[in-house]
Amino acid sequence: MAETDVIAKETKERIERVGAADIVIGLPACGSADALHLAVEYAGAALPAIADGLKAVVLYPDSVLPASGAETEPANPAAALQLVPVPWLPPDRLPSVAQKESNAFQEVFRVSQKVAARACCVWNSVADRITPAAVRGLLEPILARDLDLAVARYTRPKFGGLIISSIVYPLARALYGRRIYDPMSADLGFSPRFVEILLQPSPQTGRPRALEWIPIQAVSAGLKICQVNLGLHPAPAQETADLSSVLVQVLGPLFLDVERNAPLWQKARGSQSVPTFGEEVPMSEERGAGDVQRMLDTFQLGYRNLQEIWGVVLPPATLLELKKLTRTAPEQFRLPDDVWARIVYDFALGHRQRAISRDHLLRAMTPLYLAWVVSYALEVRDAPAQQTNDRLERLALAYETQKPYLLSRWRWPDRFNP
Amino acid sequence: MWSQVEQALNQSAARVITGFVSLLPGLVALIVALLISSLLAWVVGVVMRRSLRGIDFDGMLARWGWSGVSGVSSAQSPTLVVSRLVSWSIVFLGFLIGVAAFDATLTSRLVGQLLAYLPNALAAILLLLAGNVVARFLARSVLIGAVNMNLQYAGLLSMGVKWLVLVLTTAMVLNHLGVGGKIVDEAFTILFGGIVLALALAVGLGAKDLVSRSLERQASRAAEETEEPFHHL
Repeated sequence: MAETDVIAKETKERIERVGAADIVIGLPACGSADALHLAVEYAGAALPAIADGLKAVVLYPDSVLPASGAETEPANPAAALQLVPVPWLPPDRLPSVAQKESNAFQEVFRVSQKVAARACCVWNSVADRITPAAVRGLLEPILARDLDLAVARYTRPKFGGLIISSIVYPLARALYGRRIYDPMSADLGFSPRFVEILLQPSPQTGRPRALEWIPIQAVSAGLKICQVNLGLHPAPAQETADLSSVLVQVLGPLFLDVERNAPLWQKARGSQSVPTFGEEVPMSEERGAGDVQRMLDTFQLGYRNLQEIWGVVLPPATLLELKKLTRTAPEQFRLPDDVWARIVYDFALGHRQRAISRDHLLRAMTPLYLAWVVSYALEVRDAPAQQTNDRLERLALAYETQKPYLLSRWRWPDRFNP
Repeated sequence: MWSQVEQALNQSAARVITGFVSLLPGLVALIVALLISSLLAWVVGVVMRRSLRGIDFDGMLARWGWSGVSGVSSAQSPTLVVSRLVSWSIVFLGFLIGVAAFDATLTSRLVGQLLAYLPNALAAILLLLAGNVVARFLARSVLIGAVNMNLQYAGLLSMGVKWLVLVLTTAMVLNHLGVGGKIVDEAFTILFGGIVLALALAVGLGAKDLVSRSLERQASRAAEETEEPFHHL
């Protein structure tokens, strides 16, 4: 059992005392004793609702409770709930993309294998948002419906999760053919089958897998995926990192994944919805779009100064479209969906070709992304929730329609340059 | 008397012809050395060009931030520049071999001096290459960063950084080659000091209102940003 050697020694001893369990719940992002108490209480309440007699192990960061250990741990609400501290580092703010979180996933998976769990879930977003319904939602599809991955789906505000709405979701949907609304979701439920796959080394590199873009890994492994509606998205933390750094951190791994999975997505056509459980909470009916002038200024400035860099990845036809946009009056400013989809595809291709430094390339995309945000904000500022959803659906369809463009450029980057 | 004149003419003609004849083998050797080295240079040039194209040398340099090298070398690709540099070096070597056929001591002195200077020249070339790469990389970083920060003078800032690094590189290269002596050091010190002093005076005296207005704008903008409804993750 060389794999379990990676588990920290103290954790391993505690796990050996626990023996076997049906479920493992990982709370790597749990930041306080209160949050842990609440999470444990809710997890305990959720278990009997799933099935009788379930035994669960809850893993939490050892920094949450004082080192004195068992005496100070929260009262166990269900006899079958065992708490095991794990020496996790404090959570990173970005979900799913940081190595720290990758390590946290590894730890949960190894414990899950060690106790021969029938399902495990990792709750990586703010721990005090956990509810009995959320725990049940992530575990029940695995235990009762024989699915392999349950992805949490939250309803975001109209102007929330814009990188996900504009790039991550439509790109993943068009390429891999599955409508998973949040491929970056940090709250996930896993079957033992998928855990075993994720613990195997990457077939391409022979090294341990990077545990990011897990839903995409499930698609590439041909596993059964579902998504679970878990209500409104937790209030977004104040984004301290600057936007271009966020783009680098999100799009860098995403584009790398596109490169790694090229044989897979080149075969996929269209997209299919995945089973969705739980009631969808409608988007809030907020009105107004805030001040977009600054973002518009950044785009105009980018057009004046970054032509040389954009010209490396964008074909002349797209540059011409951007030129037209710079001459549009602010109120009529609209970035067509097909142009935006092609821009994202071109940057994915530029990332693959290493036309320029990858960091520079992704940072140079910031003004273009802001142009999309402005266009979207002006278009949906007074639109009701349903129209906003329709607007995002049209964007996702544009990505699917433009996929042959990516295929052509990917296969013949020198010959196909419109 | 005429016989003496004739004898003198004959002797001088014989001396000139003898001298010319004695030069002839060296001259032929020079021509042959040049011909052979030219042929070799052509062959090596062709092989080198194909090899460099094979490994996408131009693309590699572009990825390292050396995309603008064509601007430095009269609109030619880096592959052509390198292969021609190697070809001409071979021709020059052939020329030295040819010259050695005339006077071996002159050539050995020349070669000795050249070899002694070679490390300096190589180091200078490396410095120039590294400086150029760093200048372009930094200029691009500053340009992208400044645009994303919505600084209207992003282009100017980027160009300033680029030329600052290039000037610094040039001064280092000249210093390394021993060209210009102390003049380069002094000129550079004066130039740099002058720029810093000018900036300090401009900010401290002339543009203090502008700077304070700009800082106020930044501060108020930061306050506004906290209320923005846009969230990217």
